[in-house]
Amino acid sequence: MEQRLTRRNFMAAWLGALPGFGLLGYLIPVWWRFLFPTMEPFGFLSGQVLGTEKEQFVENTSEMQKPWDMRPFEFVRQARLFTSDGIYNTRVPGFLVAIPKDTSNPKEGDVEYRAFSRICVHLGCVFNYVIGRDEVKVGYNYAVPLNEVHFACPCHLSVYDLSQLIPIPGVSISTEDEPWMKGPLVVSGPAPRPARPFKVRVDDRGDIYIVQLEGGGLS
Amino acid sequence: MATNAALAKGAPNILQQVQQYLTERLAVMDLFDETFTDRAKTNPWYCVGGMFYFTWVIVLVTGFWLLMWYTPTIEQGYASIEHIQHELPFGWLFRAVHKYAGDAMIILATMRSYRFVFTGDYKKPYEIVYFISIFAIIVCMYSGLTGYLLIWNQRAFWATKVMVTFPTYIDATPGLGFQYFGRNTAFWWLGGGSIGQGTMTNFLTAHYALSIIAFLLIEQYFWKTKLRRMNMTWQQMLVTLAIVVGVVYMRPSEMGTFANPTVTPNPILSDWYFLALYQLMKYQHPVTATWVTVVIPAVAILCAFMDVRPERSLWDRPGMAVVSIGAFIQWIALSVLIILNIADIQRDPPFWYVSFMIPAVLAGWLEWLHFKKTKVPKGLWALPVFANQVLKRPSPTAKPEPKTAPAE
Repeated sequence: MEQRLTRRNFMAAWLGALPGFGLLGYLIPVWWRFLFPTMEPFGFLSGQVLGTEKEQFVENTSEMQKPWDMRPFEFVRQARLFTSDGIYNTRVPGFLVAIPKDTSNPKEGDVEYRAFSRICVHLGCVFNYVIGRDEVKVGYNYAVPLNEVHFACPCHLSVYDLSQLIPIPGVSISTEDEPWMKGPLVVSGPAPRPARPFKVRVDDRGDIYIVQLEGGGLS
Repeated sequence: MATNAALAKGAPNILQQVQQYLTERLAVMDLFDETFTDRAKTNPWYCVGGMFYFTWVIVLVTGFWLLMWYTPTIEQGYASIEHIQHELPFGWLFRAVHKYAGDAMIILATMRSYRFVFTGDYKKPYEIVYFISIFAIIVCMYSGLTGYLLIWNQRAFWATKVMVTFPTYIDATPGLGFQYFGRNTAFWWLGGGSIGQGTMTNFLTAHYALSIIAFLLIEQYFWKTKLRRMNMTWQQMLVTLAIVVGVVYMRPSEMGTFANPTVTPNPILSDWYFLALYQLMKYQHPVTATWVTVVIPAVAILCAFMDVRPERSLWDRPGMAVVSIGAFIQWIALSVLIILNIADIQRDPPFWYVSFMIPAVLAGWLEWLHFKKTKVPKGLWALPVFANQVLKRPSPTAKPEPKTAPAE
């Protein structure tokens, strides 16, 4: 079994291979568009997703004056999917929370409104709003709770402390330009970053609207 | 030039070496222990492959039956399975047999891989056969996962969410973020940005395709080799079937509750074969956990290439014995811990890292002791000789080389 690599058969191999590569060049983009219809062309290089968001009313501020008042809501994003309609309304569950400006001394009326996606940044389960140190200790294995109010995920026991808001790490937007880009610190469990924040807008009449979700996550 | 000189001598080039390597190994190809017929007569461990094929046939037959009655939409999927379970004659039996025969396939594939390790059968030239046996476990697990979503209950929904989200951490690995491989994988599985109808259609297709494509390829192989597919007597088949049906009567399959995307139940468990991985996910940073998940089967396959000495008895390979048995015990222990809902994230991970390390160190030490006793001259000279032995990779059939006097 002796086959020498000569100039002649080297050229012959390439003559056969080039049309083959050309054909693949035609087929791969077609196949790719077929597999990933939710992406822009070349979207796989940026991870960009097609989808639209609409502003959505949740609650009036007069109903949420007490510190740690919470309203659950579902934020609707229209995403493209493999369905025959091509469109699917993704419902992102979220919590709108009245966070006291001074967490050590919470006072009625002295609150700011922040909203967070309930989808755990770890592996996508939906976390709960847990009030009380014993609940988070017993149910979610967070050994020494410092504060009263947490988000806690049942799947892999990630616990987020709502009294400690920090800027999202690894995001180039500064919190001075976008003050809503802050999330609760992970104090226990495997979640790698703070929970995903929503942009919140309060209008003149005191109506609270959810505007947009921090991009990038799966829902 | 050196290469030209080598070619002139007729030494095989790299392509020819690869070809030779593959030819040697494909000549002893074995998928369901169909070439171990003689050993199966005396050793029941060699019936495992036949049992694997038999349970697969059961799964296929019941699967076709279930597919006739199943409606693959997220609105009606659960109701159609309720219809199968409660209203169709013997529907509950077919569904439970389909589930438990599928579980049996995972158990049997695992047993077969362990048999390769324990008997030393995975040594040259059986590396590719062993590789396929590990790959079969992974395909079975994926098949189980994709099938499980179809019922659209709470456990299935959240297990799928976790399973589909975890590849995104490949992109979070330092240096690998530029290509969005994990994210695209997640989008492909999900059929969009979230779990929905697209996911269910994808999963039904995958569940069907994983079996059918494999079945067609394997039929091609058997048609070519003219070997007997099931290396079993009819009594053995009956016993296998009886075990599956017995389990069905002891534990009828459950329905769970209809999936609710806004509520994650607490506690939540995955299917039994993912429990240990699930527990590991709690302990580790998600990037680490993702790579550990990828690395476990790779290490299992690498065992065949690391265990190079010709001995076949487990007593002569103490390192591999400790590693393989230890891995099994730890897998069971982690599964038990998650069922009991014991996970203290502050306390447990160091304990588990140490308990993973102890068997590894013990294995290395035992291997060293055994090697010192049998093969190698004393002193530091053992190390280069050991390295040489590893590099030379003597085949299991070859006679041991005459000992050379140690250089003093």
